[in-house]
Amino acid sequence: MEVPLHLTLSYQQKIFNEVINEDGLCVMAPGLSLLQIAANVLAYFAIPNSLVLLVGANFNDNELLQRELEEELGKGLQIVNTETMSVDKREKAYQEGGIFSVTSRILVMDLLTQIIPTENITGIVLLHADRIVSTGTEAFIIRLYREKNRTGFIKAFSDDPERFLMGVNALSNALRCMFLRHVFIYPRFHVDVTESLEKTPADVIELNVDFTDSQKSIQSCLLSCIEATVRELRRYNSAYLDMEEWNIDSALHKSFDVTIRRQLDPVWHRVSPKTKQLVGDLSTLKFLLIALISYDCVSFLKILDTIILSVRTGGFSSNSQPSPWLMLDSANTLIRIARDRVYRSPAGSMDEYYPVLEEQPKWSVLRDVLEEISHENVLHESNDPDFSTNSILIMCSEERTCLQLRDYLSTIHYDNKESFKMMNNRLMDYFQWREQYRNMSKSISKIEKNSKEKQSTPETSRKGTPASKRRRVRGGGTAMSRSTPESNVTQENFSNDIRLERLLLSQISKSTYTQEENESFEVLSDNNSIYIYTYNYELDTLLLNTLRPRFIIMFDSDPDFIRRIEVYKATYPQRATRVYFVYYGGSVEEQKYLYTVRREKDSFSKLIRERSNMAIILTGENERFEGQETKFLRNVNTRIAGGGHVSVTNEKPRIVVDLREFRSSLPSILHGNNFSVIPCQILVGDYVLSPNICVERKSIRDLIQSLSSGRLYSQCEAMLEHYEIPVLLIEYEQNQTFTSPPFSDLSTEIGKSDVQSKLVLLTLAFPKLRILWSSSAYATSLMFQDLKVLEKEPDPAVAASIGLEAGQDSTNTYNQAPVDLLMGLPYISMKNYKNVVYSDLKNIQEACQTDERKWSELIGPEAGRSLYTFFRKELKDYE
Amino acid sequence: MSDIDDEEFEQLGLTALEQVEKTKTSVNQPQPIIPQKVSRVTAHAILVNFRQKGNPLLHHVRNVPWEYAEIVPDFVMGNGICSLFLSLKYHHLHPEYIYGRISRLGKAYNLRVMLVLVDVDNHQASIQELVKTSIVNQYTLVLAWSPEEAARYLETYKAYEHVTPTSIMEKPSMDYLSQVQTCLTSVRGINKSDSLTLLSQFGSLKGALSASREDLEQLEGWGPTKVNRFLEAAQQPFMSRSVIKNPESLSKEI
Repeated sequence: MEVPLHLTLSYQQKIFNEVINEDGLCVMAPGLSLLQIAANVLAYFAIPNSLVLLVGANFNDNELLQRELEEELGKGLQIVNTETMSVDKREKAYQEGGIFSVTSRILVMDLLTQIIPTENITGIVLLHADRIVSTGTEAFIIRLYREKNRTGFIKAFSDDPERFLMGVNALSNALRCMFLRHVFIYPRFHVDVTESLEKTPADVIELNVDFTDSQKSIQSCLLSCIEATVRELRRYNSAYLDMEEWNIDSALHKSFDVTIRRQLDPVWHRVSPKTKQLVGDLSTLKFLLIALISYDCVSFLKILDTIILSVRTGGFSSNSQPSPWLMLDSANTLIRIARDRVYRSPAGSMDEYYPVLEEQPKWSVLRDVLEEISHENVLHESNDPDFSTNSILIMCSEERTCLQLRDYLSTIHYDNKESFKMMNNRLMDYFQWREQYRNMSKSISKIEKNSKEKQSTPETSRKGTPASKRRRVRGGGTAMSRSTPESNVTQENFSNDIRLERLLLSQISKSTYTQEENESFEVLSDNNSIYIYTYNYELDTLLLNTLRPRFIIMFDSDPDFIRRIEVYKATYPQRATRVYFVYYGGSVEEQKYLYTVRREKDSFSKLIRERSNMAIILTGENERFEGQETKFLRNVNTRIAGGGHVSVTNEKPRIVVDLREFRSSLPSILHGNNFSVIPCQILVGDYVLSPNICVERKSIRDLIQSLSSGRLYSQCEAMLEHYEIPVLLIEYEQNQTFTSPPFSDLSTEIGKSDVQSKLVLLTLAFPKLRILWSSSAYATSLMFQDLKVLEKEPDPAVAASIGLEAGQDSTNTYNQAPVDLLMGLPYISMKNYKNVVYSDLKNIQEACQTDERKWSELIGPEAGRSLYTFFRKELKDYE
Repeated sequence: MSDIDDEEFEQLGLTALEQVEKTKTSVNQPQPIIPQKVSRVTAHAILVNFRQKGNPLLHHVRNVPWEYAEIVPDFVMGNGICSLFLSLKYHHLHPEYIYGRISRLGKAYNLRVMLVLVDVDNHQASIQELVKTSIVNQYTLVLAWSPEEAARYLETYKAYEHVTPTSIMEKPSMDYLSQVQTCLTSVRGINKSDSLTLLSQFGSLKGALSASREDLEQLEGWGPTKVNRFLEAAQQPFMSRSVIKNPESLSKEI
């Protein structure tokens, strides 16, 4: 082999050889050093004059691969995104060859505009292959590549077996998208993997920590809230949801709320606001469960406060009720206990409060572990990479836990067991924050009151109950009489709050400010250094290799990381390593861990079965590609009955497509339907079919949103100004039911806020606007075909120049995220946002700092002044 | 009434008029009804073609009055606004029907709505055909999935005939908090509660948008993905320069 192989373990080499010898999809258990193998594959093919593309890599992947390739294998990796390389540079670089990691959005463009010499591509390595969908950008890339290049290789990698099991035939569909036939599956229980890893088991000490009583009660409250929410959801949507598998275990899994969302997706535009609220609640509750483990008690209370507040703001805008779980007794208990963990008044007395500030039980365990380590024999420190250093590595799941631990370790007094200082600081912060919170809360109650007055009549009968419900919801004060009118409740509540603060603050200053700042961690002897990091997927391997820690404390559980340690240990058997694994026994953390492990194992077993049952298409090489277009269309579209309509002609009609549209599936389908797709930055419309016809595409969600934000009106105005036949395309998703979003109530009066009413207004305002209703992107492409028959071909240069003013360049592209944020600002309209985008203001952060005069120049004096003050408006000034 | 021809009709009208003249002198007497041929647009009601008698959607037109009239389209909802109604079930039986109606109507009326009731399951091909027809003949295609919904469209056209479209022209006016929420939630993955967290932590929108990675990571409920998305929106430049080929060179190549 020409390239020095940088893989030590036998299973790694086996995978490498298998992947090198045959094109295929390689699914591995997470943590088994997928990226190292990918790096070696890349390096193997990167001989001079070759052009190897890496697709689907994210920021971390790039960073690690770059390091791996450059330091260990002596190859360069060029990362291509909108910032790093202009179009001319890219063109030149592709000609010269090498390994390129290209953002999918750019690669599609480069393939379509022939900036990249498709015929010369040596091959493509695809990471995160589980994300591939037949109409997505990655599948489009591979199709474009295979169309002109039938000899280059395709190697796909994934470490998420579960995603290949979602839906019917997901695995074979994914393979078809990638033009692959072989799957290599390497779970942790694969013979080769087991053999390699279990020769040198790491020294693991499990520490089972108990929850405190209050944590236990909070957990059970949360679980009963989740159960209630699921029950409610089931009651409303039994028709759509397949919930046989639902239980508390699955509720803990990370994809639980995603699964529900996916099941509801086809009917999402028709489900009641209530259902949407319930789905949102589930995510919130699940998040709280996790927060209970990782947040300290003050932060937990804070997040609870925020959630309660936002639930209320959600309530006033849509006139709906607060979330059902907040009405439960368990929610009430939950809020009370969460507060009692922070401060509490002695029984019977209302005016005295003292801080409780419950510690997280893991903290003291951590302290004990560190103490134990400090008594260990100190190893002779050597720079020999074969041996471990004396460093201690603490791994957490979140950045905030790291900060928390850093705080904790720098403030604890080793001798007296007080971590109060840090917690007191938190509490002070909390009270400062409460002040802001009060303002918001006040203004929200004001709005609530106003809206209540407007529709006060039907409310009267229920007046008794809301008062008590609200009290529960607010979660502020502890003592109030039930009969207090609502507006006063707020006041009293907060005066209570202020008194409480004063009391607590005096306590705090008494108890702690005598302590001095401790810069170093007192717990530790000088020989050990502590590193605290978060789990960061593949980067963890790198971390272990650089630190060579002798002690690893897993402060949060993470199955992937355990494998990484195993791999690390197997690779460097001489390095002494001891692992402490800290977890809350009997808690959701333990359950979640076990569930994840079990689920991954199940997924692999299923995947292996699926592979053996998969229908393999055995066709000659040529045949495989000829019918590809047709096959693709049939795959994509289930609505075409009998598949009879597919007709492919030799002439390629042209469609100019806006760059932003490449996020949707339509460009890919248009290309599959034998259109020549020309990517351009166009400012008016999304698709230009001919010099006369311009189409603005809206999904149902976009339609609703852009009708109420005024965006669609301006877009239609612009289209009408430049084109003979402006068309609004209302496009449903392939799996979405093709029906209208529901009217709020058909039996009563005409609703002003209904989408349909707004649509009527739009057509009244623009009688020349045509509407194209399409049940799927596939149907759209057929309609486009019809429309283009009578028309001339569009000119991309003309399409791109429309809407541009003098001096504005059509080779530049907008970046979606910042422009969306800009458009979300008040006083910025469809008409004036371009001035900002093309100004010398770089980004939103710079825009915040800009002075009033500049804004006046950009968007007019009045709007400019208003926006300037809007940025600076302080929440506390707001009454 | 078919046995009364036009002449007789006019006679009747004349006698009625004479009666009116007579009674005018005696004040406060109830005026007799004068029969008239209505062919002009009456301002307050939807005019319905006699052809539509028995169409179930008429039962659901409740919010605005309607009356039968001799008109070429099926419905006239206002000055220069008319509609042809088509049920897809009927269209499948008589595919030529709609084309006859279209050619008869010609280019009269400023806004011609083709109101299509989707009441069959295999609608794709017919809708595709109607889309094409509507664009060629300059109709605005509106799909409804039930007679109630179709009726609501007609009502709305009538009711909004003279309404200025302000509600779809600009951002709705909002109070400060909602403005901030709208702005911050336009970043993908940021929800209302996140936007409140941001505002309460950093005091102002300027503070929130200028926050650093470290500040954001400490927020309750903010994981790395959310932080990255937010920073991308706040820090990425609005525009990247020379990313794509000049479209002029593109059109030459193709």
